[in-house]
Amino acid sequence: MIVSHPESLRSLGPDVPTGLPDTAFVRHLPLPGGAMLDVLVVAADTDDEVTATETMWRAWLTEAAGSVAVAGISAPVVVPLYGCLVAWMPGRAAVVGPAARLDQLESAVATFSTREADLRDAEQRTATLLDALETDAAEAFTIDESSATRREGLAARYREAVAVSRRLALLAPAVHAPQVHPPTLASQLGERLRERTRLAERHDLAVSQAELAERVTESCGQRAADAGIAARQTALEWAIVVLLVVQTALLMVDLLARRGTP
Amino acid sequence: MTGANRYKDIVSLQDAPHRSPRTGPPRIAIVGGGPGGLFTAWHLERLAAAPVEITIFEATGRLGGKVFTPTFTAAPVSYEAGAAEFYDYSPVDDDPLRAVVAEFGLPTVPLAGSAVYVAGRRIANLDDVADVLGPAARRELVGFDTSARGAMTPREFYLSGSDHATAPAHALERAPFAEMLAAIPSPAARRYVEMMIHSDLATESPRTSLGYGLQNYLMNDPAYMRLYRLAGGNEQLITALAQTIAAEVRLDVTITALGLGTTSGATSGATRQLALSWTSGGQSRHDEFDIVILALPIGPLAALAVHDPSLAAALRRHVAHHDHPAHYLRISMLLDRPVPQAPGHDDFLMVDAFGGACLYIETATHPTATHGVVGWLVAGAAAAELATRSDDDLAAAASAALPGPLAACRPHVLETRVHRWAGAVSGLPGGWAPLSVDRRHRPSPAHPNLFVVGDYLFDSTLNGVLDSAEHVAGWVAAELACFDIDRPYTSRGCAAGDTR
Amino acid sequence: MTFRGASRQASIDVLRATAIVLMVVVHFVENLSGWFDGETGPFVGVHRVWWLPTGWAAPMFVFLSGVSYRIWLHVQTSRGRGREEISKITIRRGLFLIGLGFAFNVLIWLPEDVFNWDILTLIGGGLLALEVARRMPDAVIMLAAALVIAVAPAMREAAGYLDYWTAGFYDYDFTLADVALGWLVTGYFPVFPWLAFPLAGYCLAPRLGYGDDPRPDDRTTLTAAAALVVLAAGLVGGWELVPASLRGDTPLAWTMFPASTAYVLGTLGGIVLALAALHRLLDGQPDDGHFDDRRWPDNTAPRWPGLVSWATPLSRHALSIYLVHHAVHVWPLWVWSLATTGEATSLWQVAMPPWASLGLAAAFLLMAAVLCRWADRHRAVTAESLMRWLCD
Repeated sequence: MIVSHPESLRSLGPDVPTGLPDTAFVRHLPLPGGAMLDVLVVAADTDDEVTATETMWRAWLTEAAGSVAVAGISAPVVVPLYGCLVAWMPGRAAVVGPAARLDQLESAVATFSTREADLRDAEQRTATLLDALETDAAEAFTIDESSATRREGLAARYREAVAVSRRLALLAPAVHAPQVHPPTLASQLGERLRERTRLAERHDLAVSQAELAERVTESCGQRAADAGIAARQTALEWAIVVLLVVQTALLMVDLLARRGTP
Repeated sequence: MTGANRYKDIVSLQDAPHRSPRTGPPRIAIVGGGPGGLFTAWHLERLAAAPVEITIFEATGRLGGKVFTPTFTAAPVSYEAGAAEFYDYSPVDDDPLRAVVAEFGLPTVPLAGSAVYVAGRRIANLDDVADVLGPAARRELVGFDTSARGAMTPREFYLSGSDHATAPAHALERAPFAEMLAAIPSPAARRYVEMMIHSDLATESPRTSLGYGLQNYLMNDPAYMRLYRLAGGNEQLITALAQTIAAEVRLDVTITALGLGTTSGATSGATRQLALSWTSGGQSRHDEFDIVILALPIGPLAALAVHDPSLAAALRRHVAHHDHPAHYLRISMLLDRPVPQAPGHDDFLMVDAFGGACLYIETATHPTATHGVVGWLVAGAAAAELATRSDDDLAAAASAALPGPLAACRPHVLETRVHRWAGAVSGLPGGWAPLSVDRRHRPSPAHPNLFVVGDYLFDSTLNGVLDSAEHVAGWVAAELACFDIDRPYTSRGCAAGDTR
Repeated sequence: MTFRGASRQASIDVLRATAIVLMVVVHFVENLSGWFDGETGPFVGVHRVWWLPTGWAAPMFVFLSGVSYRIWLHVQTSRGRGREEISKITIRRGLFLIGLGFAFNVLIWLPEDVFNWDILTLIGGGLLALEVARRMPDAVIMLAAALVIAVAPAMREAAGYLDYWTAGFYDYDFTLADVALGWLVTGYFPVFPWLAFPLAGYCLAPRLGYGDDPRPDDRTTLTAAAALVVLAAGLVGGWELVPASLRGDTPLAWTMFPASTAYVLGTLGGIVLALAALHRLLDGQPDDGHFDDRRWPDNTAPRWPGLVSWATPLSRHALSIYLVHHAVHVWPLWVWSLATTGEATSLWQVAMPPWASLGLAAAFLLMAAVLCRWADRHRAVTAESLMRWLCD
């Protein structure tokens, strides 16, 4: 994910917390959907140095907690690794470790954050679909002329449900990827971040919710199509009735005319 | 533990009834109250179509064998004195042991550990390998790993030891594991691999087969297998089994001899019963059983006197074929404070002390722990050598060997316990061809009512002994399906005209 | 504009009031002063132009009856009235109007010994037809309306329409066949083609911005209406070019009796365009910045509220005005004729010059407007309230 570190991206965004070494910096990384990830990078060669930075990065992370409302992630996810430490929240992360390992850690954090942001976006879109589910469910069973005005909305929600399902399907290999063996530091970090943020479980839940929304809206579409066919059939039948009535009236007039006297 | 009856239906020796073996429910004796004997009794009671009368004889005062969770004296803190972990094969296929644990509702805790301490330096991933051992070593290890995974797929790993094992798997039995290790050019990388798997092998690489060595290497790959323990102690499995089975359990009874029983009143074709002898209260006792299942480690099995020459010869051949003793030594240390969490939150570390040992951090994640427990698992020749030393010597050596982040715990050791498991597992050497599964469990076809159960018949693991017990229990249950309560037992299978 | 609650549509009221004015003027002038067929009088050569606007009242009434029924249906459904109840009310109202029509014919035209199917029986019958038609898709209703218009000339030919109109008015024998034919084809406002107006009104109401799912300024509707007007104009202008065999019983392209095809199409198209224009001009939008202090019940304010305030009472009491204006000018004619000549119908169409009858018509309209406002304020009993009381 991060191949080079353009200097122009360094130290943008929030300021580096005070008390950290001069080499510490904040990198501003773009995420899908227009979101940004601020990564605080601190070089620390020993476990004691890693521990000493905790107060600074923890305060820096938690001040962002109120600005990103994510269900179930209200505190930083802290992953102590072998001589390193990574703390992550939606939108912000702190990477502390030996200078030689920082690139791998940043890369793993960025990759994970991208996937997590993707999943969170899918979750939000799914939640929106579920909000309309109860109303839509009535038309999944039967549909009539009075709901004709809702068909466009139903069609739009079906397309959205399919789009979300597609997004989740594309995300599945990364979310459910088996553990890498032999592991690298980056793979260990990625696996632990996925585990701690319950990415796989959230993905499974979002998939089942999207499937439900897709099923209901598809059913609604099927009903709407059936209703359209039924309406056309009804119209045809009524047209036949009208023609028959008019024909009958013609016959009656002819008959009566022969019997009537001017 | 003697003197404390923790299990129901324990009958004192004086009250043991003498029953006629001729009619009534089949009488089954299981010699050995370890996991093998308990699993066998449990499965047999579930599979038998008709009531069976099972008696378990255990030489010590407790059930469980190598599954043992005692408590320190200095503080009411338990620790694992034997098997510290269970193997989880569910990533590949059904895991019978996992199913048993789930059936009993026992909560499990996953175990994981990546760090290997070599010469005091931690190697937890390939990046560490490159830093500590060099880039060349990293390349060699990746190559070795690729070869290992190519030599044994997860499916082959899962089936190894069974009759369903593939031909390539059988070929792996013929060469020693040391040959594959020799293909790693760098001595440092080779040593790293040896240290990583030594405690699982329980022996040295030249003394084990390629297949067994691969298994113990590949078990570190989550795609092949995962590890877990039971929350609250692994002995809970033994307790659950003991509370569930209806078998009669006789503790502190050492079976001294096995022989053929009498056939008074037998009609032709009836199988002769087997007789077991033991000494109780200074008196010799014996009893006869329709079926005897020897669920003993190789050592006690070899020490069992057998009166019938053909039976004795069969058992000698059985022992000789399977006697490849490997050793374990457990040194558990109680600390006066919780153990600091290892980097990466590892549940165990591999350390190059004691020829390659595993150090379990047993209480690091306990939320209310007031004490800490670390446990060494020493294996192979080092275990055999250290077993001759005194407990105090071993305690000092164990404390001195604590690596990096745990070195600070040395002054906080309150109590040390040592458990010696000499010959407790089988080394499965290279060139040793396993017998068919049936042949392993019935050492003497001429004595069809004698069976053997043991982890050494598979892979020396709890999963292996469960497989063994399941196999024998199913076999016995099938034979008993034709048993007529009013007729003498015969193990010739269901005869024509049998209504059952 | 989305219909809300029971508020009236100013456009409908103005158009209906226009129809009332035209009706009163035509009836007063025609019945008291006579019909000028072009040979004598100040309207020679221009009688078609003079009478052209007068032939619009009946189509307006009948078309608007369909529009109003659509709106009423939407209101009742919105209020949660059940289908069965709606059906019962519709049928009762239809039968009421038919019965009222019979009674009106007997009481007003008795001296002429005339029993005619007239506009009341047509509107009542239209309601009964709409009770069935409302179950059909709108497209089928339009098909029915088109068929009614299309087969009417053939039906008239088959029934021998002109034979019933030799005296310049509808003259029939009181036999079952003649009565039935009169209802269907040969009478004053027969089903064929007059049923097309309420059907079209009902069907086009949403496309003009009324009722459920309003779609005002529907381009297709307005284009079709304009096309109908053009077609009618073409038929009128090019009638001489149409072969005699196809012209049938209508020597003129534009006739009200019988309702020629050009007349039906032209009035239909013209009414649609007029109503669309009035809707756009008069019916207020909450967000168009033309709010007036005098708020309508639905909080929208129409433009030209003065005009609307006079038109609405007239529109609201159209049925009563129809009944009363006949009584007011026909019965005095009978009495005056009888008194002066001994023959009740002797002064029919020759009682006074057109300017006098026109003046009377204007006076009546003024009085009617005042009385209607009074009736609204005092909730007086009217034909409409009687109908609601009996049928709802």
